[in-house]
Amino acid sequence: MKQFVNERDGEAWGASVVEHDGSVRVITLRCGDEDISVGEMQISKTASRDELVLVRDGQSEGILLTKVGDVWWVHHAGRVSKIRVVERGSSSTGSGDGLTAPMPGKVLTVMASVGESVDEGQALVVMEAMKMEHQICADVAGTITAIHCAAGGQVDQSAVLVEIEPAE
Amino acid sequence: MATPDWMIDAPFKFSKVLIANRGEIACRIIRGCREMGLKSVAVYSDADSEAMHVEMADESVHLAGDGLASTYLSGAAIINACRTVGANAIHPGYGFLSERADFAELVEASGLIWIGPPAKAIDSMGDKVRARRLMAETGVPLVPGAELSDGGDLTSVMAKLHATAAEVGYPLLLKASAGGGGKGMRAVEGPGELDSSFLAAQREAQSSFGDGTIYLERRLISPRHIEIQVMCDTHGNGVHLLERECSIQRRHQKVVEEAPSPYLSEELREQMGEAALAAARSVHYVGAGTVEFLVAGGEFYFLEMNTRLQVEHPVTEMVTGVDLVQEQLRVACGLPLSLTQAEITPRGHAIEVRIYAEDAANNFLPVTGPLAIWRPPIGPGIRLDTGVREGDEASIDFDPMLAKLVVHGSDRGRAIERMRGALADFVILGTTTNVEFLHDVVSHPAFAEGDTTTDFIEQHWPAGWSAKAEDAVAVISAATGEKLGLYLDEVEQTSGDLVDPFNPFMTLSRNFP
Repeated sequence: MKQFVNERDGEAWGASVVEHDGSVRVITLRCGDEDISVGEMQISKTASRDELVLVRDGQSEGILLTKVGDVWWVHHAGRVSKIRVVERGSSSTGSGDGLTAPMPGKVLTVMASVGESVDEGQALVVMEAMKMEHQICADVAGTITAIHCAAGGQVDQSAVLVEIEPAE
Repeated sequence: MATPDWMIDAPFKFSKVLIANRGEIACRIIRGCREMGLKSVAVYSDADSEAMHVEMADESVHLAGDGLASTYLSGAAIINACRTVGANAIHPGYGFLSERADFAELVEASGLIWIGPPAKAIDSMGDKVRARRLMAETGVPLVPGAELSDGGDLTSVMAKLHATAAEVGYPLLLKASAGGGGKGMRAVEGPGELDSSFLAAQREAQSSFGDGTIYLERRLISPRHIEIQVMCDTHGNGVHLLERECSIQRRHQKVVEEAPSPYLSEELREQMGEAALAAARSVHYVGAGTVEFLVAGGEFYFLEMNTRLQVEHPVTEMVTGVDLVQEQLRVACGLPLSLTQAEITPRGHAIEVRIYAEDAANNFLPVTGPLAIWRPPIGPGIRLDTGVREGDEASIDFDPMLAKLVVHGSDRGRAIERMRGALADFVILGTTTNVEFLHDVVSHPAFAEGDTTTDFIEQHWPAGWSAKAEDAVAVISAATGEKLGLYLDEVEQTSGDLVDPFNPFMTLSRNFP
């Protein structure tokens, strides 16, 4: 069974499908530990490599999809989902225990130092992207164990900026 | 080089227009020039060497250097670019140099034609504090507010700030005198947040506009943001082209605009149109401009005048049938306006939404990524103004706005239905956008009611917006994609190096410089 993670909520999914003549049927679909029933459903490929046709209850619906890196971007019924393919042996969790940059941008100010104890919600770093300022605040009360950014520096989205050891 | 026939009687002829901008607005102006028989010239920085506006223009000039200051914001570099290709007029678009009075002066001093208002008018309206004073003299109603007197050390500045804030009353807004686009602006609920908000607003104003002057304004409760488009010529004629309702905003930036406003009575519309023209006349305005008002409780208050073409100008074009860029070109060469006030009537209803590369589920923060799939909707009454196409990148270098989707319908209800369908059909994959959020906004019952106020988003999504989708179908689609191998390894990420037989841009001829 192929493993996936829904990027929106971090939910783990498993799916096994069989192909016959360009059409795919679902054998098993699992969300977490739960088996999901999808009823009679068939997905067929089209002349375009980024379009599929879903047929269920006699109705057909278009799906557009493309893979960027290890993530499938799927457009169905006006909604976009990002479904990451989990390769066996690789870590699937992106969340560590540090505060991460919510978007790529420039660090304007670092308002804390290693060893300092901070309160939950205390502003630690001010970032700027597209000329707008954003405050990065402590998510827990605790002690700062590491700072991975400096004023004037550029950071990528999701880069860990500050690590905090939570207070007892 | 020949000037087009329509310009034959004009006192200030030109034939080749340099567009000192990029992205969708550069593309839109290039189209306007082409339809009017004028040559167009694009400028571009390193990051934009393959951008759509460069491809569309008749000619293009590279602006060397890193960052905005030495490229799109460098007046000297733009003037040099004109000399290089023999352009004799400059259209600044919006943003960048469009509201720099010193640049407008430089253009005219260089013997070039400036497709914009006189430097003096830009200057008078550009400083929000001075504009407020001028409007008070002209008799245009103002939002209650106050200036901060200058000088003194930090302690005395803060003391004055608190005293002034108490006079204006909470909740209030701190605004950059040189500001616009929500930059250098902070909402303050009470005295406790005043200090930190003031310092942040000042820093943002200083870094965005090079001027940290801040003034205070009373924050009206659930106001509407309604603006009037005006157009004036060098012969003393001025018309207003009705209103645009731009109340729905996030982070003080507009996301949905429409015309006519569902709120305005005929009487209020007329009063606001007259006030807008009075504002324009007070600075001897020429060209296209927008006078912004806040409207609450049946009263309207002057907010500011934008001395340029607005982002949301297509809404006005759709309901009035007037091409504002073409009208700007006429006015710039000294011809009179092509229409009178009596000829300007609304037909049907138009709605525009701004498509941003941003994560609406994460506080609308900007995101970057490839536009691996970019399939805009098509159909009757749909217009898309964009400067990107499939295969381009949403980058951190510029504003995250990717496109403006505009629809026209015979009435508001039909326009809403058309917009809902267009958004559902708009497929963008590879970069997160606000398309689904916009769909939820225009589908909201309060939107259908015309109950659009500036706090619409906070009011209806107090805990933030979150996406929803049929997860099972998405996972099965991904599993199908894996099973059928519906991807070519790494094509999306290494644009250019690999030959992708499915990528139309590899096979169509492109005329990059």
